[in-house]
Amino acid sequence: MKAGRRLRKRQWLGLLFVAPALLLYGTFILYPTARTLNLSLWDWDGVNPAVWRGLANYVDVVSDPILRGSIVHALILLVFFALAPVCFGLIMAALLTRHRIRGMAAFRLVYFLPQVLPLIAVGIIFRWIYSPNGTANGLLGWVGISSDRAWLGEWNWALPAIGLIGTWVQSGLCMMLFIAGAGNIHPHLYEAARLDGAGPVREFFAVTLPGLRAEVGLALTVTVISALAAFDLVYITTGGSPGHRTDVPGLVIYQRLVAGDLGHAAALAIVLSCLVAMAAIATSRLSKVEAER
Amino acid sequence: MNTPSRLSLQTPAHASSQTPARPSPQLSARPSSQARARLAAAVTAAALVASALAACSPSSDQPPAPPSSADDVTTGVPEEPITLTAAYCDAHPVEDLLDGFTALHPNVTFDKQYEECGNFSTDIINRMSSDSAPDITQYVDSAIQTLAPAGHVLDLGAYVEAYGWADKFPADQLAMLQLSADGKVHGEGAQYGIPGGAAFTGVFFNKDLLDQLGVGGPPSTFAEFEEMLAAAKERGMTPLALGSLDDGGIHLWGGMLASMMGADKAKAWVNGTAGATIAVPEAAEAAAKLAEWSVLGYFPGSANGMKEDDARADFAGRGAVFTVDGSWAVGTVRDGLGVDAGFFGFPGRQASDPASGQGFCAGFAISSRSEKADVAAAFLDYLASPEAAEIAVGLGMLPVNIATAPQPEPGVATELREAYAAAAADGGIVTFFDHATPTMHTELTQGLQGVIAGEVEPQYFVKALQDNWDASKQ
Repeated sequence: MKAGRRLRKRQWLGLLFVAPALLLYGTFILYPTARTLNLSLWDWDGVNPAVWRGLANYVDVVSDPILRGSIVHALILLVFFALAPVCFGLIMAALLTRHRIRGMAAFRLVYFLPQVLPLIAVGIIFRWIYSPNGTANGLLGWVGISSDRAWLGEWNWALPAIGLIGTWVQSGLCMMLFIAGAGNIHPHLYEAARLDGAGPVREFFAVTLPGLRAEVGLALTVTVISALAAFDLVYITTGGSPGHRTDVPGLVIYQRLVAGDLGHAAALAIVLSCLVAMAAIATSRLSKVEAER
Repeated sequence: MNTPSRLSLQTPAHASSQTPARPSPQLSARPSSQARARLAAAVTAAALVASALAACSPSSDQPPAPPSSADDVTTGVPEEPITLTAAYCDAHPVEDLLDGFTALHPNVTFDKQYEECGNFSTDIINRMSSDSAPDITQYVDSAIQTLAPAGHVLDLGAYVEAYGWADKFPADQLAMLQLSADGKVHGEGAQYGIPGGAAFTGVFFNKDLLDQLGVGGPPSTFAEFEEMLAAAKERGMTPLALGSLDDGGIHLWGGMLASMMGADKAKAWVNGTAGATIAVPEAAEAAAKLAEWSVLGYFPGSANGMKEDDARADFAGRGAVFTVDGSWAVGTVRDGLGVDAGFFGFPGRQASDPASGQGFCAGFAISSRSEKADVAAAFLDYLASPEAAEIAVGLGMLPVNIATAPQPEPGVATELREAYAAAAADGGIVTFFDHATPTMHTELTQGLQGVIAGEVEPQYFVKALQDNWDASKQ
């Protein structure tokens, strides 16, 4: 009995300790989530009486081509925002860690710069680059392809064009993470690999890549979330144009909110949150497996 | 590690750990904590769902009822100092008009609450439905369509009667600011706003370039217009400047649609008249024509990636023969082209059809919560005055009432004014097509970009517009 009371007392005391955090979490996370869940079940414009919709808004998220399309686009962006930067980062890390390179600090600065710039600024810069008289067409001209396309207005190229901006932004981050991680791999392993006669490629797959597993997991988590939750970059470059071809969930949620379609906005927001949570859990598993060993 | 072996090429983790990773003693303690976490998660989720379902339906406060007749309201401006709050997004002409009113009535001042137009239409919905609603707001159609049915916008009926506004403002201008009780039909029901200036779209052209083509003056039919575009293309000029990135070239297509479909049918559709439809062959034909012009290169292939402002700048820099734009562009065009700038209303199918344009009036509405509605109404009455017209004209804008307004300086502004007056007289002013429903702007923009890119079949585009319309008017 005595022990039980003490335990209960201890539990209450514990609750007291978490109370401030719980209050903040409740006010800014739990309550808004509950409100969003509630809203997602209604058809409401924010002013006039709401009409009960039940799960119909969720059915629309799956069946409506615009809402569903936005999710498909987010998945396509995963390739550009997460997969490509991680691959690029690994390659750069492999090249840069093999030999000492003079002016490494400068390289790091240059590659990390996109990560520091606000995405709005990045978006505006790339709007110029992708314009008919922009740098992108200029570069193509150098290799003999003359083009006056407005890349962000091209039916099939707009989404990849935005994706490449994401690749540019995220690659530096990945590279930095991997270079730092590679520094923690014991030099003996490289030495052993070389003594075993491993070439640069073999060395990369046998030593560098396994050693960077935790960093790859972290990089994937960060970049995958940024891909799924993309908003600012798309908003500033195309705003979903042309013809809904670059719609992403974040943007569609905003547009529906503005148009007074709170129900669909909330339903899509819930679906997006679930997707992000799932992606985060899946990618963090990668680094966790590493940590447990 | 002296002897080379395959083993050393394994991962560092494997190389260092002899025992398999699990199960470890620590891991065996896990299930209970995991179960607890799972329970906590389940409880949280259940609580969330319960609160979501239990919470009452989302709603906002009910505003007071409007005055019912002219006897219930006072006209004129009182003597004591009064400050009205005014929310708006078009700094010009709104601020100029507010200042103009204060100049006439120094005891009435305004708390000016400017907000950038992109956010204004959303924000004003929140503000007008709150207890701290501004007395006067700029009339944003999509917002008023939402706010008026809920009673947040003052029904001006009593003031229309008291001030005799039906005689002071042109009927078609007033009709644009009338809404049915459910907010879905324009041009009938209650008067929710009073116009303070007009906007009108049509074709700007470069007189110098058109002379070089040797095809005569401005076209009087759609076919003639198309011939001129073809002639310009043949001469290696850019026939039309077009930026469809922000709104799909809505003004160009709107002109083509009103021309093909006829202004009356187009008006019925955008006003939300019961039974109106845009799913007709003429509308698909207009979209098909737009796609054809895109293929023929009558406007730059980069249109979908170009902002409207940039296309306007191109035209003002003598980069194209024509551009379809609105009265708000007149300053830019005049500065760029000088005496070479010209304007005509979008030609109809036959020379006997009225030249048309889309338009709307920059209007003002009063909050139903305002305790100073009488003074706010006095400001609305001021909008019909010659002083207010002079302010609009001075800014290069179209005055509400052309009959009483002073003449602008000769040139493109005069041509704009004449085209507008002709369209007004012939019933050729169609409300902007994106006013048809609250979500029509996105529908039109994205659909038109598809048509221009040749990716969306004209009849599907038109059907999507009608589906949106049907869903909204249900």
